[in-house]
Amino acid sequence: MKINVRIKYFLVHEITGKKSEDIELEAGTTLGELLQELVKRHGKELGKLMFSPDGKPGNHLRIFFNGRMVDEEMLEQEIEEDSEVNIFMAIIGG
Amino acid sequence: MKILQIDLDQGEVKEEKLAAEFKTSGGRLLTLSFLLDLPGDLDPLSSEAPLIFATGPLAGSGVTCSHRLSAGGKSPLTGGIKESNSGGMVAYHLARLGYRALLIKGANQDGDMVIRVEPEKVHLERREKYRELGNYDLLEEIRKEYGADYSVISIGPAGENGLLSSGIAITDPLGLPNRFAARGGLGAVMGSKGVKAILISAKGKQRFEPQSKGEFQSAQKEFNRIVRENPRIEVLQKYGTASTVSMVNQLGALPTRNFSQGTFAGAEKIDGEHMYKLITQRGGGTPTESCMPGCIIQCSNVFPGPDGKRIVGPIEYETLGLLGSNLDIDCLDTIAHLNYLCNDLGLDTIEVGCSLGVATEAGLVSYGDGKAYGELIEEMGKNTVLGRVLGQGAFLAGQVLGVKRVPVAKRQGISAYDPRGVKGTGVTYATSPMGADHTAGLTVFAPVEHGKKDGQLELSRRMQLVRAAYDALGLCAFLLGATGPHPDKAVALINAAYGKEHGADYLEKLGAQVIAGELKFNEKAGFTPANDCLPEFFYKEKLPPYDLTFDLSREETGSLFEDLRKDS
Repeated sequence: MKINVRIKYFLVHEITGKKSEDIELEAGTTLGELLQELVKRHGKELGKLMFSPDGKPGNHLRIFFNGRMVDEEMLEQEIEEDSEVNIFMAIIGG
Repeated sequence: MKILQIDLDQGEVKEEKLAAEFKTSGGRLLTLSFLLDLPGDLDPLSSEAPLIFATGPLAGSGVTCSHRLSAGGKSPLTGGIKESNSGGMVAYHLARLGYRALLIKGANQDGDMVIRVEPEKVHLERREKYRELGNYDLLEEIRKEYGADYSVISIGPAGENGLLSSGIAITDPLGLPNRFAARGGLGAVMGSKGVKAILISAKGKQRFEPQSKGEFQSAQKEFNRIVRENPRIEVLQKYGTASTVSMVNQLGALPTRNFSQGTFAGAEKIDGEHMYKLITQRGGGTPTESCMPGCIIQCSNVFPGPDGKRIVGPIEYETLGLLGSNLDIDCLDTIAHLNYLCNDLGLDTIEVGCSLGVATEAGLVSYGDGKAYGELIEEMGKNTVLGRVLGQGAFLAGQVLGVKRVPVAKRQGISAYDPRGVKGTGVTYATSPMGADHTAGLTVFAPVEHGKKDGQLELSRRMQLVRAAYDALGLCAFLLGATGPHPDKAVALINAAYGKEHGADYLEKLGAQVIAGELKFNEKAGFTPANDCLPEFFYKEKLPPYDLTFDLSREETGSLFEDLRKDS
């Protein structure tokens, strides 16, 4: 069974080449696997922004999965149909 | 380095040598030092209340982002300590003249004083014709009369009329009064001294001479490298602080309709990407501009109208939040116009945005009505009764208009992070001696769940200490996204410049010294830990869409600085 997930990029589009994309995944795919798939598609530069050297999500990006900021524990979470992943450059503030 | 002291009651000008203890600090700590021994019941708008401007110890050095100018005094808005810092050219020019600080005491009763600081002499002059001029016309007149070789500190009519929302304008590298020490009503303090403008000559020749030139150059190179190579800085350079809008909206913490909602339907129309697109399409502005000499971040911008003519520059995130989403305005041209009016009249866009939100809730105006909001800001400039009610800040406006949802802490308007959605910054609002002020300890960039209370007290405290240290060094807070994880690199600059051997914990100690002193000042002024809280509605009203409340107790926030209170 396949599921669909929508990815939106905020100020990251210069690396990904697009502001959003829909990805079809196998049911049971975890969030961590999805993020690795994004790195595979868009290159190591995205990986460096996405993961700190110790492999934790975050570093220079803030990733939100269905409205919740992604931390290490959430990487094992399975993705459900019509989930939304929003990826932002970590902001400096105003 | 010297301190320039001007006593307007006596018409005296004198110079004092900078005390040895301030060799390696300045800014926020130095302004505080002139206030600590004053009586607790000091009237902030009396002639006895000093107004101080101070640079950091790296001003004039060429280190990136080292030219913040601290303005300090007792806040007539909060009744407590106030330091508000700004970019611009003044800190650089003061350093070139050999001054770490400029202190003004006394008052000119006629309200038309121009202080002109030249390399050899300080002139105290009266210019009746400058009275009631907006900052932009004032700067034109100053250029005509004195030429362009000055940076300028000035106030608009709001400061002259003692409005508690008034700030102090500082000229940028283009010579325009676009940078602001905006917060806490310091414009009114300058107005109470009868000083309309302070001109700082650009002809100073003093060079920054580090103790160890080689070490300093290496430290500077390393510091600049860390900043230049950080990918977040690249984004800030291109999109400015407006890049913050979308993520805060995602967090459900973008102030919307007087802090009654945390997301704004028009967020994409006021965010960094859209602003960049308009600026580059229209021409006549720029998305990337320095606000001070030597800055490699360049997060400032100049925003043009549809005709390609400059409306204002820069438009910052806080203004987008408070004069945009908070008032249900999703048009950058309208926000730019309101921003221009505030700059010209010398008003703090955060305080005005909060006050107008309160006015809207009271039914004086409808959400989204940019024209009506502009007219209300103009009322503040005209000093009408309505203008005074709204221009005295959100707290007093709420009191007069009978509004319950008034977003303030210690009577100062809350910046563009709803404390229910960014709880660490909420802790900062509640506990900072400055009152609600994101610059005192912003937490939004930390990789934590901002809507949960866990760890937020510690995060806020850590950020308040580091920001206080940066403020005392005259360093821009926007460096922190890059240099924050490397405190030793900032300390290396100080050590090489002044022959010191401070450890990497110097910043934390410096920050603690600043905040302990400020708490002491506030205690004398009547503040207690019970004041370290937020208005009732933040604890009780659920913020859509995530139904968040501020669930850190008053006891928790009240005890955040218990140790520093004991030390002070």
